[in-house]
Formats: sequence, C-alpha cells, structure tokens
Amino acid sequence: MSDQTRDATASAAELAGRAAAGDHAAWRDLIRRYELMVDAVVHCHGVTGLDAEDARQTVWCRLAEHLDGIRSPERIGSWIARTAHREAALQARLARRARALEAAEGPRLLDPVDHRTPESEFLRAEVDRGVREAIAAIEEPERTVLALDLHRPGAPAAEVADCTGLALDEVASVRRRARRRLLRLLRESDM
Amino acid sequence: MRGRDEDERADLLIAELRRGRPEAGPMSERVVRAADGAFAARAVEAPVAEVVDDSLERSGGVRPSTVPGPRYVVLRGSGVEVRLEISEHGDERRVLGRVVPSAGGAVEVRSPFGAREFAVDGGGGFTACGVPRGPVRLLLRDGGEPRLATRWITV
Repeated sequence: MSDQTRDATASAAELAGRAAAGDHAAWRDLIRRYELMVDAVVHCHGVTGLDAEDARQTVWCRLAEHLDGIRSPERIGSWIARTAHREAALQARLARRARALEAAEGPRLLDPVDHRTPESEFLRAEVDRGVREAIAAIEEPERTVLALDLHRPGAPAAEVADCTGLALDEVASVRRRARRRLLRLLRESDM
Repeated sequence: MRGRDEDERADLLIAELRRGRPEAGPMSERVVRAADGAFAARAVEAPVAEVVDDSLERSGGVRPSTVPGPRYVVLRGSGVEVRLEISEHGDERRVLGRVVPSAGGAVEVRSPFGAREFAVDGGGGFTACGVPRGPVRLLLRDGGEPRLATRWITV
C-alpha cells in the first residue's frame, strides 16, 4: 500500500466499526492500512516465504474473529501489531521445527547448490538470531517501532503512531530509545 | 558526549541491519483471499475456545528445539477442552483430536479457503487428515449450530 492509497478520511476505529457491521470495503481498507506493518513485524522475526504467508493469513483471520468483540477500536493498530508479533514468533518456531524434521530425514537430492560460504552464513544466522532474541525481549511500543525502523525505513511518523498507539510527537524519542535498546541487547549477546 | 556516541552507534547498527533485510511489501493475492475468506466466515454463533497450552511455546525459547515430535495444543472454552496432536506431512497436517467431555457429533475443520467435516467418535476422538498448512479453526457440531469454535491457530 502506498501512502496515497491510505484512507486518510476514515479513522481506523471507523473502519473497524464498519467492518464489524459487515462492510467489506471497510475491511479491505483496514487490512491495507496495516499490511506493511504486519509484513515488517513478520520479517523482523526472521520469518520468510510460505511461513511469512501463513503468519500474515493468521493475523487477518484473528482480526476477523476479533472484530465483533472489539473494546478499543481506536487502538486497533497496536492490537494488530501485538497479534502479528505473537503469530510471527510462533511461525518462526514452526519453521525451525520443519527444518529440523527435514534435516532428520537427510539431504534431498534436488536441494539447490548453496554458493554462500559457511562462515558468512554462520555470521548472518548469528546476527539474525541476536535480532530475534532482542525483539523478543523488547516490549511494546519499542518492539513495533523497531520492526518498522528495520523493514520500513522512511515510514512517516503518522504511520508509526497509528501502528503503535503513540502520539505523533513521541515517535522520534521512542525510536531513539528502541535503537539504543537493540544496540545494548546485541552487545550483551556478543559477550 | 556519551549519549550522542551511543546514538551514532545505534544509527549505524540500524543502517547495517537494514542492508541484509527485505523492505516490507504488500500482501500477495493469496493472503488477500485468505483475509476475505476469514471475513466472510467471521460470524460464528458459538463460544470461542482459547489456547491454554501449546507445546511449541514451551520448547526451547527462541533457540531451535532439538528433537521435533508432534505439536500438542490444548484449547478450552465453555467447559469444553479440545486436545490436538498435530503432525506435519509436507504442506499438509494431520490433526488427531479429543473433545472432553465427549459429545459425539462432528468437527468442522475450517481454513480461509474452505471447510471439511470429520466424525467425532463416542470417546470424543477424531482424525483430520490432509489439513492444509496455515490458519485453521475448528467448529464442534452436534446437529445444527456449532456448540464451540476454537480461535484461529496456524498449523
């Protein structure tokens, strides 16, 4: 979704209310409004490919289920962010399980040749693991601010605020705090 | 100033991490269809059972778990417990379930793209084969309206 298509006229709470009443166009607008945030959150847990598709599907299924009982529709963005973190973290575990199962069955003949060196792969995996563990240790709203910072560089402050429930003028300072926390956590995990 | 040094290092770290990571993109057509499927089927006149235990959440923190066996999930709602044993077969899952207390009837296994029904035996057991990977929701039926629906879970 580009910022041009973001429905600036309707608030998230209005869209959630109309979607709960069965308005399909409002449902589409609602999920378009948060699709990039959900993708950023899924990526920051290291979930890719079909696993990422599964996690994104489940987030929208959970939202559809949640619409009727929604208590604070004005905070729907941060509800979606929390749900996305939860489902992405679970999906990351499912994916690691599936890889472990495959490894237990032995190499497949049709596996593509991997030209990356074992060293660069190892370092990359270590950094990814460090980020994943840091994300798991960081709480909202810093966690989602970081996900957007990493995978949606240049996201407007209004979008970050909408996805986290922060006030517009808090976004910059929370981002600064979140970056520092990530730096410290990655440093600790090196030791 | 120490704080400023730290901020500069944090900014460099973010720039470095961004290089190896994809930018967020829009949903695929399949995800949009799944979202629409869940929206169309959202009205369920039944209490919702929540996850009370998931072996996936217990094993190994964020590090890889060592020996993968089946995954066990327990959901509970309205005095009914649904115990699931989920195993993977490529892109399909086999779900062995037990409903406690048992009431017979059938269980509908719903994905965003469709639904299939499986019989529940006298002991509350059922076997659902060929369940597609991704989100699923189970509805317990004994005749007409479902008496319990599980929340959506990814299998």
